[in-house]
Amino acid sequence: MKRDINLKSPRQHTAQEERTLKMLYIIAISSLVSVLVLSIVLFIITWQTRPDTLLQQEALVTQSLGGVNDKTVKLVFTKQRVSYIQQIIAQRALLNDHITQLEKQIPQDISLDAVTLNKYTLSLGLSSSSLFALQTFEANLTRAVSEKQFLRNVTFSTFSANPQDSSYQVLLTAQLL
Amino acid sequence: MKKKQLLEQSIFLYLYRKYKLYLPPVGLLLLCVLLFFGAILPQFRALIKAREQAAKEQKKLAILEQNLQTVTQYDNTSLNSSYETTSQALPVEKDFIGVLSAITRSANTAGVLIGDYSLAIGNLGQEPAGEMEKDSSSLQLSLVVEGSLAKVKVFIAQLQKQFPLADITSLNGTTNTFTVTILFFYRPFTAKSVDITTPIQLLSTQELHLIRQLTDQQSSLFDVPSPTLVPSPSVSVSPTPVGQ
Repeated sequence: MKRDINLKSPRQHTAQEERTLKMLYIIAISSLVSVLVLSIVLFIITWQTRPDTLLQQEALVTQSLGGVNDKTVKLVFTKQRVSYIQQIIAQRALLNDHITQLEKQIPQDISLDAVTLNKYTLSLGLSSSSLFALQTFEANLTRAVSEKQFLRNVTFSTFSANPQDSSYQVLLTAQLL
Repeated sequence: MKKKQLLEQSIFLYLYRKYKLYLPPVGLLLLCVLLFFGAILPQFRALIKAREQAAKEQKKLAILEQNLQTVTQYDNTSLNSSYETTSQALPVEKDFIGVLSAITRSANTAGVLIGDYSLAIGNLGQEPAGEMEKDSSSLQLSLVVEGSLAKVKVFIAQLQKQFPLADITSLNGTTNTFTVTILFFYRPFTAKSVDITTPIQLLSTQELHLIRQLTDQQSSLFDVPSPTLVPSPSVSVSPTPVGQ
């Protein structure tokens, strides 16, 4: 069988092929060089970015802070404690203020028999021989509610008269502002 | 069959002979691609990571330096005084002596008589379990106060000026006998250590003002300073290990 059927030998290259081959070699070698250079550059940058110096500085500052440990702890805890104190003061019930406000509403002829007071509600038991005084008291409370002084609302639950000592008793509950 | 094999071999040989000069550059290019994905990209990722870590450490160092500056600029005496004042206003534990002293002083000032009282002590020697309990560490006390409503009002006002800080939650009674419920606050040290890698803030003007108010309040309460023990916090500064 005749093997060399092609007229042109495969080992012979045209000028075009030579140029392509040359170009391919140039591209391949320059790519390799680029990759190697890039790799070395990246390695150097990474090496330089290592935070060794920072860590050393950190260790020094931490050591210095260790020297003022007691002061640091006191400062932090003082700050925390002040914050809690602010919260407590802000949330405290102001019962004495409420009592002062209440005293202003009660005329002299009325005696206060019973008081139940907390942050939100007020219950009172009052007695008086003067209906006029009780009316004044009721008017005062009505004004306190309408002017939103310290009361949200007032409910008179009981009004009774005691013929034995000619006095009147009033029981009321109120919601505080 | 044999003919076909021979033909395939000859085609392969032909192609090999024709393109064998292209094999080295193509191989090199493939190697470059492999190197890019196998070495350059991981290096690039490592660089990004290193930069992130450096930035993190830089930030941490800045915080540490700032904290050091903050702490060192404080006057020791002033800080000790502030710490003691705030610790007396809000003790770290249930301060029974302080509570009884506050009640006695307030009663004396208001001119009321103190009758029976009951203390809701709670758990002894135990840290508050839940977050709610931690937030509301208080000692509840109910006491009978004998005096007019006006005097009781003074008593309540006085109690609110005393240390430890108190909140009078309810008042219940008849003409001259009242039951007063009081909460005396305390606050245990919740943190076991101070993290110095978080910024330590200076005491604000508002906070300093409050401390000054408390100090004034304290000095008005105690004509003769009583030897109150303020336990020092047994807490250590535990920095995050360097480099983490």
